[in-house]
Amino acid sequence: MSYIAIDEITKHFDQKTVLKNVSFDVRKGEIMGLIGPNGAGKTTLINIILGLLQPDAGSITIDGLSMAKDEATIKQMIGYIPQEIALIDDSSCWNNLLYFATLYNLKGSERKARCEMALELTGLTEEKGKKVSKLSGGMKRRLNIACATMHDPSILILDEPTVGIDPQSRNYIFEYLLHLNRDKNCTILYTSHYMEEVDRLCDRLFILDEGQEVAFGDKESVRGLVESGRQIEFVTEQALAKDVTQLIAALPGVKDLSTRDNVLLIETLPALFSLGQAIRVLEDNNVTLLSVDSKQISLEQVFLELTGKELRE
Amino acid sequence: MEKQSQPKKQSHLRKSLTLALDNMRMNVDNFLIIALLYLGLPLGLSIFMIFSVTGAVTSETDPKLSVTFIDNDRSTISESYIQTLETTGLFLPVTDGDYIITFPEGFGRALLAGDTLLAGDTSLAGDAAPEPGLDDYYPTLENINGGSSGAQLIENVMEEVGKTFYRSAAIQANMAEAGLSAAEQSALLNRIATSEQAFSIRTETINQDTQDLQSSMNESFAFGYLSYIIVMFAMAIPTSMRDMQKKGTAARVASTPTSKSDLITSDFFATWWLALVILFLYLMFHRQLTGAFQGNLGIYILILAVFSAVSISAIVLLNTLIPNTTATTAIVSILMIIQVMGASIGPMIATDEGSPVALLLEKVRIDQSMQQMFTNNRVGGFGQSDLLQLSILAALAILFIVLSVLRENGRKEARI
Repeated sequence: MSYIAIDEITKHFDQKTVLKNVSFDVRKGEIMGLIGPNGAGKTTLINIILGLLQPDAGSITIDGLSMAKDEATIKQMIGYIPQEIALIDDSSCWNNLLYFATLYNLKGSERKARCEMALELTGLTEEKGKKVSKLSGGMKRRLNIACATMHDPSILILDEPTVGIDPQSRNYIFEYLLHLNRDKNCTILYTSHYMEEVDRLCDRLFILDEGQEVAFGDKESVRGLVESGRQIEFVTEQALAKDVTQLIAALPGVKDLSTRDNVLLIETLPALFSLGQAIRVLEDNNVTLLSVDSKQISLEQVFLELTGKELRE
Repeated sequence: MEKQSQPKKQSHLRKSLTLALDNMRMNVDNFLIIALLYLGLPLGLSIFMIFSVTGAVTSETDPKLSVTFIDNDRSTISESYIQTLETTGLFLPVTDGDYIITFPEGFGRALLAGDTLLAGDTSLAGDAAPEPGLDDYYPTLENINGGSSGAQLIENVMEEVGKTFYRSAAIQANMAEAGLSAAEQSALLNRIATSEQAFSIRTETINQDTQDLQSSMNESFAFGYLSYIIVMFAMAIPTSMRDMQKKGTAARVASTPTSKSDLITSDFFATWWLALVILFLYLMFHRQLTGAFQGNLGIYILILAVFSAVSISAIVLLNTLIPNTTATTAIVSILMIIQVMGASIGPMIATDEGSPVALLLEKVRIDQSMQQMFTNNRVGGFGQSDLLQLSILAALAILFIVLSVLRENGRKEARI
């Protein structure tokens, strides 16, 4: 059942349509990836989910509640981690935590206990009294997350949370998110430019481009939307003759082909392509094969295929 | 359906106050900047102004006090009085002296007739004493740019000269002419003695005024920077809002379950409280160091609390009405620059009244009524009308906050 239901959301800024009939759902306890190039409308959609912007059409319900009627309840359920380090720079980690804890209605001894716990979970206990401006980029990101999660949200929305940080901090963040998801059943909506992050973390994907849905579903079904299901790399003893590559290109299920020295790379349509047939063609033409490698197509390539754009454009 | 467990709801006021304390705590993390910019700078500048201006005056080497005599009475008595003062050799009569001594119309007649003895009494000549009262016929002293010690000297000399005039032959002759018996003359002379006492009391009062002039002048310089502090704090509101928008913190704060009214009121309270702390410290430093702000401390605090509340709430409202925080910041910055200029130059141009610069600066100086209340408090004249005005301003501050909350609540989308 849908935990977050986004139904036919449309949003215009002036005359420009930023989101057009966007619909998808997020299930309770899953990690959903929301991906799209810059200007695709991801942040606008997130702002609408958070109740910061009003849609021109469509509706959003969270756990059956609507922002119009149950704004405070919904906002209490959500933790939001924006793309920027949205903290008070000139203030200490501890005072930032206290401030956000109050914003999330935590009070008294519980407030302090939650802040202590958030520091511990994000490995920032020793930096408690340090000003945010004195922290490293990775530490700031971790504090950014701590401020959004200390009230135990049932939904966490992250907008590009790992931009500009070192691999160690990135891993720390992933582990923390997985802990929240597995151990606290936190539903996560994750936006990123890094496909490998989405591939690693997310159960399902929603791909957005120019304000419209491009693809939606689990990772495999999204990959299946792209006809070039697999990539096969042949390494041969010597460079291939032109007539041999033409024979390979003519085989059924070969969508694209490229050569570089003694490497032949083909993108295939899995339903039509026969690897045995390709090997036979090479052997019949006295080509000595050194290795054959078959790879699943990356989400990055899927994205490129579906939108015609690089993800980081 | 599984629902999120909700923390117990707290009252809006309690949450606003907690948030305001959190806000203040975060501000205190910048203690050095706040101490320097909001307290050290205005305090240093005001003290510099006080000592540079008053120091220049007191360092004059001319042993004579430059005095302007204004004789509105033009009687033989007043002329004689002035001549007597001049013969002491202590004064340098000039047209723009550091001190101005004014003899009111009726001074000589009142002195001769004995009308100055007690207001409302029958005079020696049998006429009703001039109204409205005793003090109207005494000479007055204004300290324009002089030191307090000079004023003290003038007071002493005037008192002595005044006493000799009470014993003058003119008064004796006047009594005889009035046909008074010896006993009556004796009784009246006793009352003349009372008059001397009255004159002495009067000079004492003048003396207090004179001391107060120095305090008043210091206060005038110190006062201008009080306004600077208030405007600086008010400006912190759009500035911090702009920073928060730039860094995405505004969106993050707006995504929390805290209501817009709680956010606005907590911003207001945090800024106001901190402003009050700094204003209080500024006030106390001046009371101890420069002798300014010698009136009732509680009343000063009340005035500052109300004026800072109304200024800060006005900027809160402005901030909610103008969507562009950069524009709001620019407007408030201009206000502050004008304010500081006006406040610093104001006391110096006081004698240049009527000039275009003076008029302009007079117009832009903040809170003339606040300064008036400060003056009233210093001279013990803070009264009902001041309290009424403060009540109106306090109500205005509340209205501004309510309007800000209504404006923000009426906004469909967050200002991110």
